[in-house]
Amino acid sequence: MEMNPELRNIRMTYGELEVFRDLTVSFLSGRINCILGPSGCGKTTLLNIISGTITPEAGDRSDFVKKKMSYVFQDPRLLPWKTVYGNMAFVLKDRLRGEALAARINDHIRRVQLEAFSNYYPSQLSGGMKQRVSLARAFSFDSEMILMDEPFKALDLKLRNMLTRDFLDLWHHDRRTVIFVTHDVDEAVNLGERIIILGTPPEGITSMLDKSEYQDLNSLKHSITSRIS
Amino acid sequence: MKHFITKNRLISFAGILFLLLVWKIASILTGSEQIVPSPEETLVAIGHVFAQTGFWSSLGITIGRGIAGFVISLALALLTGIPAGLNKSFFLFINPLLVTIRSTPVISLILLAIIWLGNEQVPVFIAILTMYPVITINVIEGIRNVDTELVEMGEIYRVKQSAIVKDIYLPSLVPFLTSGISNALGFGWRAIIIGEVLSQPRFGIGTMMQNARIFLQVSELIAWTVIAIAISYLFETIVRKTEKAIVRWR
Repeated sequence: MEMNPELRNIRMTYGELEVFRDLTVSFLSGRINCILGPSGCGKTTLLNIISGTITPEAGDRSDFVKKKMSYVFQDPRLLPWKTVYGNMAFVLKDRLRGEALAARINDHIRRVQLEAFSNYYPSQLSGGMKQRVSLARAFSFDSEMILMDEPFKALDLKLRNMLTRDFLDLWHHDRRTVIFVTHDVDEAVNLGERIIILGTPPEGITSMLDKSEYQDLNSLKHSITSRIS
Repeated sequence: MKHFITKNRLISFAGILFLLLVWKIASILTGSEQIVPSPEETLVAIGHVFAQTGFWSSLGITIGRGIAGFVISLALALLTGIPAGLNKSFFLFINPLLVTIRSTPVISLILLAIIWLGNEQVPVFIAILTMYPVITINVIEGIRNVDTELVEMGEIYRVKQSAIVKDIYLPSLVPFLTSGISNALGFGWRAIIIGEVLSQPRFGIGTMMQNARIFLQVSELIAWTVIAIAISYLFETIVRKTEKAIVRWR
């Protein structure tokens, strides 16, 4: 079993605002970890520190430095001038070629049920379909870790349930470490093996709950809600 | 939709008819073919111009100058505009040059060019000086408008820098580039012809216009003008069609 990756003693400020004072957190390797908290608590900042997009003022993120990561953003971030296939190829073509590339792309497009739309441009797809492409892109990439920033936030409930199913199908295939940011308690309870609760800045992490320590989802949810309110 | 297109065409057609009518009335009022020839006389003159010796050479050489000036301007604009869009210091360094070229009256540039260069080089030189800053400014604007979130996505997925430039920066540049090119060509053609009128190279539309003026052949002068407008329109159409073919994704 791989070591659980950790961030240690992170300090991060934006101008006057101190987001994290001394944040230490560990994630379960090969599991879905949910970061839960209200908007403005620094969830995305934490994800960006993990991905290396922003550098904290102090602290140790060495467990993440060499790791290849996939990222599913709130908006799909697809290249408008490339088709579904072309968008997947954009992140894969440096490492795969020819038939291996085509097989990898087609396999993942099929897993998110978009095989009929492979040659469509993003402007021809619905919001849910675009986010599916973003999921397929993340899982097709040879990463060790997948970061997800409220990926289903903009979708209605029905679509959100469908995409959650697609996500879990993809994830069960190779069970990569996932760090999933959400503000939705139910989503965190459903998906997360470990749930990390962020308080208002600069509090950082207020609690860390592992699903394995609870008898059922209801008691886990109850425990979370009592800590948030 | 189709209905609208036919209606729009009809309105444009009416606009052209109106222009021709004003022209015809002006020619009747002045009463002299020497001053304002009528549209039909001009049409005949265009026929004569086509039959002139040196017509095709003049037309071809002016178009050639336009294309040469354009290609050089475009290359320079990409070479300097992309780094200026990415890097503030380089922009600050190059901006005085761009502002100076843009603010200098075209006629000053032509007069200086006539002194500095041979007659044959003046029109292309002028074409470059008029087109380069216009295209460059659009390139800079285009680079600044690149969606940084897409670039960030590419970096997180560890896509090579060259692929990020080719697949993110260049495609986002296309609409800015085509609008810059179409503006630049509008200025460029006019500047080339002024340059030819004043520097008198052996062949060129401007040379032919100047000859017509010397011999007071107004209908011929207008005929050349109509040809110049047609060339400008043709290139404008090529730019628009090219853009449409490239930006299929919209």
